[in-house]
Amino acid sequence: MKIGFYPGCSLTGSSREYNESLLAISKVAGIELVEINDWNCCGATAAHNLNQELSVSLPARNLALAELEEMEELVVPCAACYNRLVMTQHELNENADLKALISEKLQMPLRNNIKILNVLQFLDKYIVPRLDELIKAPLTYDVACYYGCLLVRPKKVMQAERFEDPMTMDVIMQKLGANALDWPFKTECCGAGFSVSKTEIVGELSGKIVRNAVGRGAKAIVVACPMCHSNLDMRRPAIESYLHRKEDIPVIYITQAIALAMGLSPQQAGIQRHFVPVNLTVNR
Amino acid sequence: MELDIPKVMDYLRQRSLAEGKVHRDARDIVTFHQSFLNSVESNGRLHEMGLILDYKIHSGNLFQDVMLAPEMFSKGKLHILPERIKDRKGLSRLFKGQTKNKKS
Repeated sequence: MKIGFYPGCSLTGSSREYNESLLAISKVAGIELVEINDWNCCGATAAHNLNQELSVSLPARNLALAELEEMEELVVPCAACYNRLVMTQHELNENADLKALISEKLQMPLRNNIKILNVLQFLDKYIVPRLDELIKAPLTYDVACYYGCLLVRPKKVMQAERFEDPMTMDVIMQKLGANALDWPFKTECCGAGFSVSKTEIVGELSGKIVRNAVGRGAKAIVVACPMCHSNLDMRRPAIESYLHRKEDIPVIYITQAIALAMGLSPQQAGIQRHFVPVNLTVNR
Repeated sequence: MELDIPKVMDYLRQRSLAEGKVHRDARDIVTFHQSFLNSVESNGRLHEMGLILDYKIHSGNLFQDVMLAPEMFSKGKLHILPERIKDRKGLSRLFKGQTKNKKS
């Protein structure tokens, strides 16, 4: 089975383990993710902060290219890219003049009706129904599933059923054998794009998330967003500086958790690329 | 009537930039976003190494995160050369006439 795929820039660089683990589990499930030919950056926070037109035209080019390749569904694992692509689709469908203007700039037609799936929707639809047969090494940890902002907000556009207490990732982790803890920081902000420009804000916001997860006994924080991962993992020194103590709780992508439960090696899941060492051999 | 708060915030941010009114505490944030879009305009995709260098030069924060880049590189998370898209003309069309400091 072939499905359209928009990796986004992070997955080719600072979050390549997310890409590696997603492709690895898809392969095990017999799914081929086909990259949009010549895709471009979605513009991320920078475009929608600085230039309204670019914040729409950059994602729209990817949607138009996917349509040219007759993709019906598009998997977008980066939560930030997913948010920008869905928001663009929504804005263009609400504003016919803008859609015509962008289509003219792109010099490409734009039906704007492709089904965009975030990683949790993709997993839920294509991987979860087959997990029973695919799990070879069930996980045995208490975990805190952290969703962040962009998968669930704005609720009107994202249509998340439980935008303050989402459960999709929790249900998947339970199916993998882990114990998904009930905790109140699932959709708190990690500091997002302030990683470089305001690192101390990331230290504080992500520090509160880490402190709560650790306090509830989680052995790992599970995420589905490159920015959340980088803030909780790579920015651990800023977090520890805010908390005034060392915290060694690892942060793993949901796709890495599935890869490990499928019996793939830590290297195949890209675990060696993390800043905070991942020791997942300790059982509950 | 429902107020779209994030849209209002985007509008106010772009308006304040257009009028050159940026709070000194927010200058690094704006510089980072401008460096980000510079990289996208040049390559079509974000080149994280290029972004960091451009941001350092324009923000003056030359020594920030100096130890981070080598570690990212050793973990295979940083590329020295950018990935460039093929359709440069199409990309230029999107950026033509667009500024990175005011609402278009």
